[in-house]
Amino acid sequence: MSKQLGFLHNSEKCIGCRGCEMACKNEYQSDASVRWRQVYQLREKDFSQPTRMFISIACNHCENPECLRVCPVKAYTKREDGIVVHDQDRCIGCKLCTMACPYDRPQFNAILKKVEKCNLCYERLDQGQQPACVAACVPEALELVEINEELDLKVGVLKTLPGMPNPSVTNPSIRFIGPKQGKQIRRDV
Amino acid sequence: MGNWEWPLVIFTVLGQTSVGIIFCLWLLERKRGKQATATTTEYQGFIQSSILVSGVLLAVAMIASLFHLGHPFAAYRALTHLGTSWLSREILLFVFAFGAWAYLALLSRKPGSKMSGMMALTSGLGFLGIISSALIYTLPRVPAWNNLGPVIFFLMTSIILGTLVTAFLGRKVLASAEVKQLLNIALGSVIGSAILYLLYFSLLQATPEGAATAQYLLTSPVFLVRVAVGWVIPIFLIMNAVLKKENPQPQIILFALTCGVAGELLGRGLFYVSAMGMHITALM
Amino acid sequence: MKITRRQFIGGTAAITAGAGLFGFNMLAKSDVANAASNQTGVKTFRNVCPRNCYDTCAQISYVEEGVLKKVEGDPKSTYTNGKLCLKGYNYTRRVYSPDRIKYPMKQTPRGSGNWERISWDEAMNTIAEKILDLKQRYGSTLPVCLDKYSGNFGITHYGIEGTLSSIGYTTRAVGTPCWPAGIDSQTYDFGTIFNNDPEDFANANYIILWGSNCAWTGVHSLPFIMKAKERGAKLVVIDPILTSTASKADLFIQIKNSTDGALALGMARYILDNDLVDWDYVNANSIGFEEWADYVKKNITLDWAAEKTGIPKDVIIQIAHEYATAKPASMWVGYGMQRHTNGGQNVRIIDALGLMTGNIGKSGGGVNYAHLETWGFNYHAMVMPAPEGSVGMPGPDGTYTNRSVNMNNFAGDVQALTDPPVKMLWLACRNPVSQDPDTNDIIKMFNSMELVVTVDSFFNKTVELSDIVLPATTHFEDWDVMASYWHYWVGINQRAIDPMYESKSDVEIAMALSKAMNALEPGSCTYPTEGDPEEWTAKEFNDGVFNMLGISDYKELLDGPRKAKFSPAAWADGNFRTPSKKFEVHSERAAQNGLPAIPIWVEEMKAPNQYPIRFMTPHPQHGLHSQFQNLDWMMAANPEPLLEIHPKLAAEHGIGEGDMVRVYNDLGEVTIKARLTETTSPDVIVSYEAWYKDSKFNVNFTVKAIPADMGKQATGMDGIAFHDNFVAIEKA
Repeated sequence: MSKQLGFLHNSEKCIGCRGCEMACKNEYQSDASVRWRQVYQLREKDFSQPTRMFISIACNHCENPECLRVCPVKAYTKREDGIVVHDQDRCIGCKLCTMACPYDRPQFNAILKKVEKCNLCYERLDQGQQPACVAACVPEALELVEINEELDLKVGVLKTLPGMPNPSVTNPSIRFIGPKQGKQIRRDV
Repeated sequence: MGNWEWPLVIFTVLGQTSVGIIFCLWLLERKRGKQATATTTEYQGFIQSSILVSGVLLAVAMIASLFHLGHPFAAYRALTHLGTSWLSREILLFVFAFGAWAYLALLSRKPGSKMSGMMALTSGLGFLGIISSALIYTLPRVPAWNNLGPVIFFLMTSIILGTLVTAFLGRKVLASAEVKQLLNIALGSVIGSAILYLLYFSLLQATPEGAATAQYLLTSPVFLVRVAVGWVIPIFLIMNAVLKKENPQPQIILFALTCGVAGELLGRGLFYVSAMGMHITALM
Repeated sequence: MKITRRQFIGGTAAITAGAGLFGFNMLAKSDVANAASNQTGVKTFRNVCPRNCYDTCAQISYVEEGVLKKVEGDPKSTYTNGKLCLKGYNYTRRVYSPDRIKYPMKQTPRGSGNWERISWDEAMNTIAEKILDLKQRYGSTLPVCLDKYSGNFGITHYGIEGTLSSIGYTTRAVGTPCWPAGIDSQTYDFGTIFNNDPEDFANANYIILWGSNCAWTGVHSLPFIMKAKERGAKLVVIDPILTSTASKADLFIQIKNSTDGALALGMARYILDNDLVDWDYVNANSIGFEEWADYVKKNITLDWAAEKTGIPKDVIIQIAHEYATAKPASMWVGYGMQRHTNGGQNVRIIDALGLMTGNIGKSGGGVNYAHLETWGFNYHAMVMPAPEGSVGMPGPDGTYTNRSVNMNNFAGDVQALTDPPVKMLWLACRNPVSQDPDTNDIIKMFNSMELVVTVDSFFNKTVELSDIVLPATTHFEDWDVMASYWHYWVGINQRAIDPMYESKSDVEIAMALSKAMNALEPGSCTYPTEGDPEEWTAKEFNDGVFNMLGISDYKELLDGPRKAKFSPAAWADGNFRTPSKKFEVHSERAAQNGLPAIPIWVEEMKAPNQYPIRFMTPHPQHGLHSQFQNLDWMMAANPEPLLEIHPKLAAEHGIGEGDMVRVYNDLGEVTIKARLTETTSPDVIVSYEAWYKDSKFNVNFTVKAIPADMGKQATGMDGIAFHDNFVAIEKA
């Protein structure tokens, strides 16, 4: 593998507008039973003050993808650029990958009876376009980046956020810029 | 939390029982071989029918497993990732086990053939299949599964139900000592299983997800039933049977077997439903 | 490795094909992944989202073999910037929803769910006969009542008003529920509503979002606000709820509802006392300021403001100082804060803050509420003469007019009419059974009708209580032109796909009705019966619109939407449109309407003893009023309504996370699942208004039609104090 592509999610900029989630569905017209990308509202108690903070998670194209390891039909492959691609033609719908992924990103399509997930819009990338979610992000909180040491050494770049599973399980190719909270004058204090 | 994965429950419990039966037959054969006990037609018939029951169970199990798949007719493709997928390996081993069983079934029809080797091979492949099954669920994502628990409990199921089925099938043919030996193994396994489960419970507390699994089980009425019919009642019944001087009553064995099967099925159902994986903790 | 999406979409199709002749399976005809690129066979069209929304997004629709494959933002609009909101990305599900109304249908009896497909001819004849019958029985068409509002703000949709005008003088729901108090306050102060270009937020040094949750309701403005923030501007959000927008603020101020004017007055007192007034601007551009300054100095103290608003004095001082000295400082006055019995008055006080600090007419400044400057179309589809000999409400000069009923007290006012009574309702772009206050009274009013006709795309709550439903096209199936009440862009909307099933646009329905009416009684309807949709749209343009957009033909808009050639700062020329041509701190027009002439404090509505909790029902994220939330993707992402409740209040009532809560008052009740959150305060509960598929949820069962203080001057009727809604709660 020559490089590892992944997402950089800026929680400081993200407003939880869910445009990325629906732009993904718009691009692929995916069934209602699957959510390749999902915006999560982080729990209030994980922060020093109440807040509405969000993360937007699709497949993390992990360095050690559990989906790929457990899949009995070799539906998963990891490309040279690190994208974990799921080939739905091979899938037999055993759902083992949905049990193995800490991020719940392989999603079972209730109509097709097969799993599907974010393939990082590799067809768009191959044509020089941004992934649909990144292109749709109004506050520009979501970026496609190369995950490397240089990125990890940058100040403010985090490997995990409160609410995310321990990254050591799969080494997800996602990085975060942590949420920032302003001053609050609230009536309940 | 997971789902009630009934096809997988049927597959694992029946498949494990099937392997356990062949294993018991091997135990009996080996002992009889050592003691050079003369083979009666009744005994021959018992071996034949037991092998048949084992095969039917294995076949039903494997068919049931297909119902778990979104695309059962493409199940053959599941053999294509032996490199890292325990599911591929499990299926391969069960296919081999089934092949071995078929040869064993053939042998059992030929009078005078020596079967203990083939029984060892069949049950050995079966046990490897069961271990592979368990390793499928040994997922880092699921702390309740990511330990020796699945391997131990899957093998326990095989022994408990294998011995009880074999004891019941051999109730008229086997010597009292043989039946009691099987029941003793069953008793040891049920008690062992219950004790190991207690240890397993304390292990679960180590992670938040494991604790959630434990919490789910402790508050689930199904788990109470599973404890009663899977552990308490069989222990009582089998103990009663082996401690009495006379031959164990077939009704008692049947009752213990029924309870054991119900307990293992419910237990396996809970295994899937109570599994709590690491996940993104957020408002839903 | 190549993934063919064809196969999986194809699989979807096989299942959903059973749902109807058309459906999502229409999406399945070809390879979606290929459709994403500009390959042969994919045609693109320009569309504009016509919903009642700040953003009125310019869209590009991708069509292959006559099927809408996806919708994207149009990069040619620098406001939309090539991106849509979550709702905009759901449009294929709206167009191809199996739940769409496909044919004209008749329900007997009303409310039974016993729907039967009928032909357009039968539908039009039934309606025409009823209109003529009522005209004969009552001597006029006044028993026919129109309730139309914001379901589609496309200009040709004013053909709905035209439909009713063309049959005679009728009863009309007049007013606008959501924003008129603020409109009037700015009408008294400035002469009309006119906000800065929202793209101009980028030039502000200080921004106060006052009651605006633009992260949900106007997301495309946010990047310009964030651009200012990156430049060092401070972002202050004043809101009773810690919204998603407020979570991004440098300073969030949780104000006690309806006391915004008190905060603004406290700020004004500080600005006056510390000589931070821009006297040059005030003296040159306003009248009545001294009178108001006098009032402030005599009546307002910072301690009072702090007490009233629940905001510490030092915070009021801080924001007053910062707002007055940042130059330019911008304010966005959201519609939420004016939905109170003193809402208009509070906006007037905030307007005065903008004036006294010289932030009006400045790029990067403004007290920004809304505008209608780009809406100067012909309203060709709307303006229709009454048939000869029509009788209506007698006017002073012997002519006749329509009869007005208050849209904001629609149920009550319609039932009060007797001479003649209202016997037939025509509803289009409107869902009063979901959206009007006092749902029970609305249902009662519907029951008194002889015929209820609704034009819609979905079997919503209003359609459920109708006799006849007519299937409406979506904006992808029609020509139209749309302007925004916030940004300065105007765009053409092309017909991207053929009308689905038997759906028709409102103008086509008007033409069909006209044919039926004139066949039964020649001369009974003046609506034209010819014209294709593009022609109808073309007729809405005039030289004023062309000049404003810098074009000479509407066809130039096919190359992309155009932005009005205005200064980025509203009122930069100082030509206010008040009678005095100045900013009127003292407004005689306000006084004539029985309101204080100057922006003084008016007491807020207090919670009654038996209903001590304020129930706020603001706009949702996954829908726009009763639109969008019913679609399958939205239902999957947001399956049920929630009640945001502070843990302290929840504990008092023994309510835990996920418990069902009964919210009630003397009007009605609604039961909602609790979401415990400290983003609201202990005396305010929040649930977002919406229409969920297969759900009885409707916040308006508890909402009284309490008028806001303003709205008459510019919109004919006062607004609704939606947020002065008080309830009690219990664990259900």
